[in-house]
Amino acid sequence: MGKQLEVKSLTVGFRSGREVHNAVSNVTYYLNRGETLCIVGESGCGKSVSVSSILRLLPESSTVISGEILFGGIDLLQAEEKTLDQIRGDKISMIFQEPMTSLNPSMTIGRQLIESVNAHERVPKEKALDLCKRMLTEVGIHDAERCMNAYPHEFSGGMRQRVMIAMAMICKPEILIADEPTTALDVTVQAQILSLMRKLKNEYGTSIIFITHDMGVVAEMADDVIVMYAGEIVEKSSVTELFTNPKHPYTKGLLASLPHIGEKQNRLYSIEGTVPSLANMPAGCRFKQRCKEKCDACNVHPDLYKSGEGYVRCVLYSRGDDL
Amino acid sequence: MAKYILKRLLISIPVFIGITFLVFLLANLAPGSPVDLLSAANGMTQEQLDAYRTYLGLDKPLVYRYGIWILDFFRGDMGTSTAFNQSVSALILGRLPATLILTLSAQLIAMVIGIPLGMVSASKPHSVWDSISSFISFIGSSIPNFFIALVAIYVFAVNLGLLPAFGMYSGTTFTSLGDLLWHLILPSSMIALSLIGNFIKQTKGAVLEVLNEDYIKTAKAKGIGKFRVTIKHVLRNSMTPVVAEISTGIPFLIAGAVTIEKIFSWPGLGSLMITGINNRDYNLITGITAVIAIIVLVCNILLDILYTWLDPRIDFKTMDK
Amino acid sequence: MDKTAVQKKRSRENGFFYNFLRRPLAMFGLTILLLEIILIFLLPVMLELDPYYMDTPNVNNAPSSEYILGTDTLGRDCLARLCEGGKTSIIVGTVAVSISIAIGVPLGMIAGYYRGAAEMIIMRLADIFMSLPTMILVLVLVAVFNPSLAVIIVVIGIVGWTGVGKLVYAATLSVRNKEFIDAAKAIGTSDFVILCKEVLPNVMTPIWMTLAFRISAAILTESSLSFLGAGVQPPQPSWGNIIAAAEQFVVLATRPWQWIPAGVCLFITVVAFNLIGEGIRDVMDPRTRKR
Repeated sequence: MGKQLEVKSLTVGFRSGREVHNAVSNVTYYLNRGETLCIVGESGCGKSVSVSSILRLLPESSTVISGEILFGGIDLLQAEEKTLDQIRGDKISMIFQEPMTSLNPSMTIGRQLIESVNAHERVPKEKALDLCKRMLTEVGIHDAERCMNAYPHEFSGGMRQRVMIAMAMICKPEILIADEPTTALDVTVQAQILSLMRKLKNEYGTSIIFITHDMGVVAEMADDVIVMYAGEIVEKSSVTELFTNPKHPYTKGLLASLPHIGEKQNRLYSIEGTVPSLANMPAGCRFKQRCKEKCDACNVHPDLYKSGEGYVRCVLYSRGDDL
Repeated sequence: MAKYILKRLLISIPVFIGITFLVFLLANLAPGSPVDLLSAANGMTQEQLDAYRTYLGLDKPLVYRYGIWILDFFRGDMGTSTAFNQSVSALILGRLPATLILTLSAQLIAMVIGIPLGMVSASKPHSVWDSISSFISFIGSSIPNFFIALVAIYVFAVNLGLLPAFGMYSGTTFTSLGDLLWHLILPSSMIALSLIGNFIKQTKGAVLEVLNEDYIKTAKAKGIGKFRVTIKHVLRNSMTPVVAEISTGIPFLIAGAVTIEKIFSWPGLGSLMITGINNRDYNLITGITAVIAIIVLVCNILLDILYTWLDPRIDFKTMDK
Repeated sequence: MDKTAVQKKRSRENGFFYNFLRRPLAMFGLTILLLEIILIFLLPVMLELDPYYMDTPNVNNAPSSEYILGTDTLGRDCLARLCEGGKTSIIVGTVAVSISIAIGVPLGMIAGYYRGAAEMIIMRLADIFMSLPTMILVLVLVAVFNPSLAVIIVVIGIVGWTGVGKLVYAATLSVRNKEFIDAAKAIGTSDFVILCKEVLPNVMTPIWMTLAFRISAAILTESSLSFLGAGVQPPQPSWGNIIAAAEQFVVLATRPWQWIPAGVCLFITVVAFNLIGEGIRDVMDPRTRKR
């Protein structure tokens, strides 16, 4: 155990003309060794942006990043491009939401896999090929030999996501960042991919940062959970705590909007309204316009208050952990 | 693959027949046929004229004559040039290498300069290079190439005396490669100038699009380094529109060759064409246009094949349309 | 601001002219072009210039107070010929493109709307025209019909139909199955009325977007032809045949006033049309439309 990756007051802004709009403001969290951290939130809440900045994958010309991201004693935000390239794909690797577009269409899968190996290890070609094939078998692709010479367009989304996972895991990374890896897949395939990730996690001892908007996936994967809303962390706690005792009105809303098997519901709950746009963020609590429990105090921007084992950004918990 | 190429060739045949028939028709519609010229000059009798007409095959219907012409064409016989009093095919074969050297080197210059500039301006928008390349592409596409060629001769040949103003060789024939290249610089770069702009634009647009693709993010996340990402992932995938640009650029290349060859007295097909037109040498005109049409059609087929190599997603079956 | 005022402002901000007038480069192009047209048409009248009068004692005069741009090898006033050549260019550009549109739009709409045999014939015809570079095709046509201003305009216009036709064809294909066409058919509107009232307005956008570029291309084609001696024939001046004087080495090397002004004017005109074209395209194309 112990903190493997620490993100400290990360703020990411996008330039738009002369203005800068913050997609992520002042986000702080850490990842424990061997654990899975889930980041949940609606689309546009900044969850993707916050993890893309870990490997500095955002276009540098249009983004303004501040804060610290500490990994193995290095601040990744300040690190040289060369140092970063030694970490990318080797120590920390990443898979993405769209398996259909995340593989290079004009390169065989084999060459894309070998490229990952060669970037970090000096191994003879035979051995690298062998490693790639073994990894493909490991992620559940039976005909590894044929797969190596195939182009991505010859595969389905689920298969491509398996290839992505093989590519991410091939150097046995310490941390795997998965940015909504199952969102674009069919439900049955989703379940297969999730169990594959759990299997690999146990085998390789990899820690995972898992981004999703699906509370069901959170329940299945997470040790710890961060709920994000409009670029901010609104709740942070362990998975059991979150599901048994959700605190933030937004978290409650997310859980209430899950369908429950066996209960007869006339109408699925939904949180009214939409996420405020980056350009005109309301002053005070960012959720207040959609909140059922709002009061006058919500006009002041709330801090992240400790409540029980976790943290909540809501004025209702400002006095401590009673209520 | 072979089947696809065959199919493309088969589709090109009616187009080739259409364009050559059009040109053949025009040439035969033209006032001043050889017979008319003779009758005006020599005061021949009607019988003599008819006999001559029969001798030339002019009494047969146009389609029949076209049939004869195209059969002869594929046998390599395009008739006799009235202006040069020589076989048209021999004339064309003699001039073709000069035009190929000129156009291919112009294409090469345009690509070697245009593609990197386009890449740089896409990866560093609003930088100095971006401004320079927008400027070059704008000027290149706006300036008439015959005018800039004359200005270039005025500056580099007349005033500075650095480069030759005309011809392919210093003497009458080929002596050394250096001499040829020295004569090639001005004319080929003048043609290249009008092509560069589109290469810059197409490359820039394509690279910008590819840079936003998810797989570029994947490649960066692998830690293979910026250089490899650019060469292996960005460049390869942004080449399709650039190849398309080559094929849309061919007409400009040939048009450029016509004016530039005339200005630099470059002994190619373009200047031959002008001579043909000024002398109403219809055998020569029809022959040259047929050869140019073949070149254009073949280039387009070759570029289609190149597409499928660049993008394995393109399926030969779906390309038949 | 109340709601209607905001809406008004919005709709104004979406208007073509509102956006076009706010593009400095496009406005620069437009200003230059208008200025040039005014000069070309007014200067000869104001200064009583005659492009054909040969002042035989004063051949090859350098620019002076009498002849602002000097005289040519036959003693004609270069400024007068420059203005007259400009008229030629502007006329060729606009009339030829109008001809291309007049041919290309109906053919493209018919091919796209009726499909079938009409589509087959028209589009193959376009392929045939496109298999030869424009310049070569124009040269052949001009060689057959003796070159005169009218012939050149018509030829450039005819050869240009393919580009227009292909654009209109593609646009027609994309609207022919839309609901409003079906609705018009359902109430018994004739094909002709549908084509004119429903299809036409929808397929013109790509034409307007490329209009200025087509004009500049036509101007360039005409001047290249005239330069090659296959275009406007002397003594009638055109920028192309004025520049052709520089093919004589003496003129090229020692009398820049006889050819450089025409080249510069040609360049400026093409630049102006291209700047306007880029402005129009950026305003009309939602993809490139940014602040």
